[in-house]
Amino acid sequence: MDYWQSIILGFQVALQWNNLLFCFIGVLIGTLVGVLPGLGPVAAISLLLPTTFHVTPVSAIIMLAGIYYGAMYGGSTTSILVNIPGEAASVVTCLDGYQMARRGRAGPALGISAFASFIAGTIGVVGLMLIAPPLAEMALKFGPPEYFSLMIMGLTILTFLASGPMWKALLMAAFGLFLGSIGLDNMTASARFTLDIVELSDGVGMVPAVMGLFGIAEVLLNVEHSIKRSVFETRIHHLLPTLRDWRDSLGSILRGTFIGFFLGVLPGGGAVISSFVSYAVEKKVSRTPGQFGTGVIQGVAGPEAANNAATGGAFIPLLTLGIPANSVMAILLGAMMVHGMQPGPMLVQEQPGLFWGAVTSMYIGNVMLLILNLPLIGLWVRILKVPYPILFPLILLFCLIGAYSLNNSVVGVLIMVGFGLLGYLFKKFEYEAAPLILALVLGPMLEAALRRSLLLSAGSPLIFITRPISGLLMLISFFLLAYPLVPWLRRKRAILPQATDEE
Amino acid sequence: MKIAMRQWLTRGMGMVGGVCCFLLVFMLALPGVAPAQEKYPAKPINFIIGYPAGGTTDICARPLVSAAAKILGQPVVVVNKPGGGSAVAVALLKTEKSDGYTIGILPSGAVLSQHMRKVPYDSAKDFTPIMQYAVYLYGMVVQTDSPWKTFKEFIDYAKANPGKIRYATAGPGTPQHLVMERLAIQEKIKWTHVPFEGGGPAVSALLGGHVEVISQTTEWKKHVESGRLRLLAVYGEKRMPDFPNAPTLLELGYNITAPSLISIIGPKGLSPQVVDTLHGAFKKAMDDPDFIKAGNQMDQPFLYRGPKDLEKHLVQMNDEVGTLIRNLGLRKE
Repeated sequence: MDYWQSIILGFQVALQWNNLLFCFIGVLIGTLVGVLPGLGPVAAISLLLPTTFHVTPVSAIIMLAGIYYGAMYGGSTTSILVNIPGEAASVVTCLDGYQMARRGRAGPALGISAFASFIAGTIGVVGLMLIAPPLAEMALKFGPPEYFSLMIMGLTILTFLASGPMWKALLMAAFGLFLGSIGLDNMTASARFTLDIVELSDGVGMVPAVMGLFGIAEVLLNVEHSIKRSVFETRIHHLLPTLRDWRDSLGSILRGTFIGFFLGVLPGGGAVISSFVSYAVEKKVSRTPGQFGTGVIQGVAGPEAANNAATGGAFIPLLTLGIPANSVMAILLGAMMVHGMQPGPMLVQEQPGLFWGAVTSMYIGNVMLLILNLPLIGLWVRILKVPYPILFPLILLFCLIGAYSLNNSVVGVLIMVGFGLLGYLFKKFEYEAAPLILALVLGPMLEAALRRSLLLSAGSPLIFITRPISGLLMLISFFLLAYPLVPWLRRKRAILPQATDEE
Repeated sequence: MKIAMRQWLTRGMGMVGGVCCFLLVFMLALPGVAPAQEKYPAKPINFIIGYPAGGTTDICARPLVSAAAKILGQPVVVVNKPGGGSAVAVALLKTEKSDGYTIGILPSGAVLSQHMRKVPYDSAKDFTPIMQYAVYLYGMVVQTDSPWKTFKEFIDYAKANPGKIRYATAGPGTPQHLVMERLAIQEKIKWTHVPFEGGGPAVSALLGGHVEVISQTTEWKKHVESGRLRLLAVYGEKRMPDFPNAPTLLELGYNITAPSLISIIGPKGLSPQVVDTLHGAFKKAMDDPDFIKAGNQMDQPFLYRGPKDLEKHLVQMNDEVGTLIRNLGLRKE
């Protein structure tokens, strides 16, 4: 495998002016939604998906990916300055970031989180480049049973790591699987659960569902209790971390990168979880764990590195197996299919320009983000002051236009509004929407893999256990499911803090 | 409150306004927001393909579609809706508005499906035919390191080992599926059909050793050329020019060829003007060098039929394959 040639090809694609422009738009929007609390990358990407129909597939993927990792950068700003996470993966950054800002060290906090994000983001992309092509080779070993078991494991991990009791998350995943079965049967084309509504024969659209569950529900919830924001009015100075800051945080950044990348690769893992794990690890390796929560720079650097590295890792199962690791990747999968690309083992070989172009654009995007985030922090702070009475109606408007324009049909709008109300109730009763979304997307794939596996084995479910890769994946899922039943283990799981909003 | 508001207006308005305007303009550039009641086509046209990207149908249709889009002066957006051997896409197309802004491909698989099982459409009655532009070539392919060097060796093994052979296709009810069912009847073979959503995934399944054989359109071509897969037989009336060593089923003594059709259709009730415009554009697009190149590369022979001819052909094809499948007793409810 000639990496250099591929990388040069990638840069040739990524450095075309229109791709540079889309990369910039992507990271700009990403930073914007990252900065603004209540708007996450999931909602932003699903909102902007229809707008990419006119551009080339490469540009579309570059822009949508830019939104995703851009949001990881932007989220920290809000956490540090306002003590409200801009998006879910920045929840832990609040703990020490805000304390640093209160002690007058907002500058170094913002600086180190930008640098940590940059370093981790870049290493994550390198990892993606090195691991994805050989993994795609190996992916031919993945037949229907392996796909089935991998998707089961992904759903199990997600429900396992969700906040709140596991049965709630499992319930949501099951509901998502049911929603995924609405529409025409994928093998025989007979209608299921469509209630004779023509628009439902294509299934419940993922985009209106996501916009409802995340966009509309978030607005409804925020209207209920207005977020109090006290943005630091003082000038932010000393953005560049000192030598001592660097010495303190370099280890954290590297550890965070490692954790983030590998948790990102796992289906069901992702940015949110890895930031929590990284914080826990930093606290554990620190000589002064008691200081955490009072403004320790490691507590900012580690998680910020982790959530950015996770974005690189999360692309691996999508680009090599065609399986989305989290809800953002699920939407990207939809986007790629809209553009006529089938992510999977053949993607690297058949569309090298697209694959390497998208990957190298992430390098460029990371540089752009560093530039956007350091000198322009003042600008983002100002955006934070947009009054919600102006912001929320705008979000609603965009959601409505977006849902309608998908098929020019009111049914899409109704589905979105329905999911908006549902999402509001879910939040109220503390049910997480993430397992639902992933299950909705995986559902049809899961079903096809199950049916094909059983055809291969002439009806015997043992095929999932006797094939080694599939058996191993099933074993992991089994342990995760059995975990909460063992009392002393249950306590450990409860330590994982609340979050996983957007993932 | 007032002061705060004014302060915000002066300091933030420019930036925020800019961002909002930008987003708004972006959103308004969406497809379908264009005003109706203009000269057709006044907005982008959706083009549904019932197989995934990267299959023979998709690879050959895309250059045709982009050439037609240039002639029509509007984007034509390809939408892949794989499933059920194209039956899912055709069933969805039936439910679309007949305004000429959603059309799609009717392949032979979707025609055969309606005779082999219950599907929610009738390909002879529920659509407006626009144009046929090609036919498929099919073949039976195994791994090169498999024990079967010839078609006969393979059939002998399959007969001697009932239930051992698993074959992949791009979906139930496709011609390549029908051929396997007919072989099974004639040779009293018991083998298992594993339908995938398209030819690409079916080839991947063979490469990964998850099935023993595939019966499929030309997605296997480059792997046969590279020596990783072996072509045992082809289902056309003549041998394929690129693979002169692979015999046809006719030569092997079976009276079996695979029915074949790739055509463009719209929902029932398209106005004659719309059909004229689309037919004119797509017919002209058949001269596009990229389209011709893709067709040659994927061994997809061109075959043109205009709207009237296609309409007749669809009725005739349905009659023929319907009778055949009924006589063979292959319809499943």
